[in-house]
Amino acid sequence: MIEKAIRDVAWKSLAAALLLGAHLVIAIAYFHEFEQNIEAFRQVVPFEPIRKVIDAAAKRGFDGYLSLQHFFKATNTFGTFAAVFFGMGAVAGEVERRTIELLLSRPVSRTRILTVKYVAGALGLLIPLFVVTAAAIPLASTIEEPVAVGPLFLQAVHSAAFLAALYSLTFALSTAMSDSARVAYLVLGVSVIEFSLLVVREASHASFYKLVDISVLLDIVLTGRLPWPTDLGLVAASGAFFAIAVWRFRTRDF
Amino acid sequence: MIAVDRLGKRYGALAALDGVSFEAARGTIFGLVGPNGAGKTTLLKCLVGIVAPGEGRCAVAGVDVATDPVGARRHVGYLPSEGGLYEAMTGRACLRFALSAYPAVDRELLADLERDFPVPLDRRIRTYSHGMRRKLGLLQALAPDVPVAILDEPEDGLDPSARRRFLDVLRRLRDRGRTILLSSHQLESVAAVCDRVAFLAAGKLVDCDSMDRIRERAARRIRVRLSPGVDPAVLRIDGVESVTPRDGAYVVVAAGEPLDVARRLAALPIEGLEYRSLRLDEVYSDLYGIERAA
Repeated sequence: MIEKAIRDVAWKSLAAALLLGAHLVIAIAYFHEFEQNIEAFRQVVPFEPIRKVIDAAAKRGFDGYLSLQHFFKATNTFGTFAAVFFGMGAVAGEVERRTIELLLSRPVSRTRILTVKYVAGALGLLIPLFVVTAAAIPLASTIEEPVAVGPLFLQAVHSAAFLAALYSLTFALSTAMSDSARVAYLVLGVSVIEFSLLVVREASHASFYKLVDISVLLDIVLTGRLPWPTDLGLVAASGAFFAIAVWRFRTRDF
Repeated sequence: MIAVDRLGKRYGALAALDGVSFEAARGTIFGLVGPNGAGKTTLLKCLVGIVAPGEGRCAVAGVDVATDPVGARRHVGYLPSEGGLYEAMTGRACLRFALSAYPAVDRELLADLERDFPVPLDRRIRTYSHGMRRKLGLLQALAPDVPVAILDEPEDGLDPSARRRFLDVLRRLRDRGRTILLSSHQLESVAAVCDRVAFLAAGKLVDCDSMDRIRERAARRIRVRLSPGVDPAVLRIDGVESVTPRDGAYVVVAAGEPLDVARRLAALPIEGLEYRSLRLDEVYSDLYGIERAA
């Protein structure tokens, strides 16, 4: 069962790493060009909040640029899609493919089945984030830019906590629904709305992406500390979503 | 080996199962028949803990499915009706996955089954035909070294020769002490291998008896077509247990010696009389009120 769960997520995990990695390589390659053309960028950006994001990142040099490109932009967008992609089919996909009966008729408890799936999916989602984040160190050396390694990984931990919560929500919905596409539309629909709210000054406080906003990430760079209350809250949310998933999976007829 | 006691399951207003009780002894083949929607699959799913019954209880090898579903499943090989398999896997990988959760696999039996139901195990399942998928499903359901096999529509998609081999395999497994619960629309097969048969309709058990007894009861049925205008009450002669109108004729069940009753019925004003041992599909038709072919 563990072997199958790992096999199920392995190629998705590889795809996520390649996508995130490709973005990081391009971003680092263009850092000096970005640095030299900040003013021009500011002028072509249509929204004031995005101009502020660029300013804030520029103030912190290469570390701020990495926060902007790798965490705020790439991890938040690709990561959201990846979190949904990893969680949506966990149970709903088995129902669609009609393999759920084969799975549930094995002499294994439902809690174990779900835990193996959850852990495999979470690792498949988060390992690429840490691997690609680690790759930023040698990549930065190719353009002769130093990286603050501690804050870099703290940002990865913070982003991972956020993605894990989003993944857990998708996973919980997958245990309650029978159509993985609907699960994906639901979570992605809400995520797109929430991300849009982030750039609306009057409504940005209502966006859950505020938890991984550039200001939060730059604070980590500046202080070298995690925003513990937020991260503990995200971990608790993941735990709560997983507990709901287990309860639903154990009580659901298939 | 399998005990079902007043099992009930509702989906809203619909009673999928309503007070179903029966037992299947060790080393027997128990057939479950009934029209679509009768509750057969729900019953089998209750026995492996995929569906939780609303009322009653069921046990496999003495283990209550509700209180210890994993323990119960350790004694059961199960073939689901729709037979969903992991399309991206090869047959061998899927088989390995399906069998890996069992404490023991009968390797000798598995080798025999692979000979009886040849499947290209190194090909991906997405390239399989319906029949190949069914054969792979049978391998994973029958190969675990367990005392019970629960098979939902196992012959669906099997060609006639595979079907014949399948019935031989069931007989061999029964002889080795395995209990087999079989849901099927293939009544000829049910009649050929089952020791006991239960008939389900609208979630209720309408009849449950040994195959021998069903044959014996079937032999007591006489179909009579009365002359026009004759009161069917004339059929209630001495030695007649019941008279039921069916398809423009009457089914008379003899309480005593059927040949003697048939002789006396023949003396009445009738257009025709049919007395022969019924096949299981004819018993099924009579039970469910389905018009039989002439």
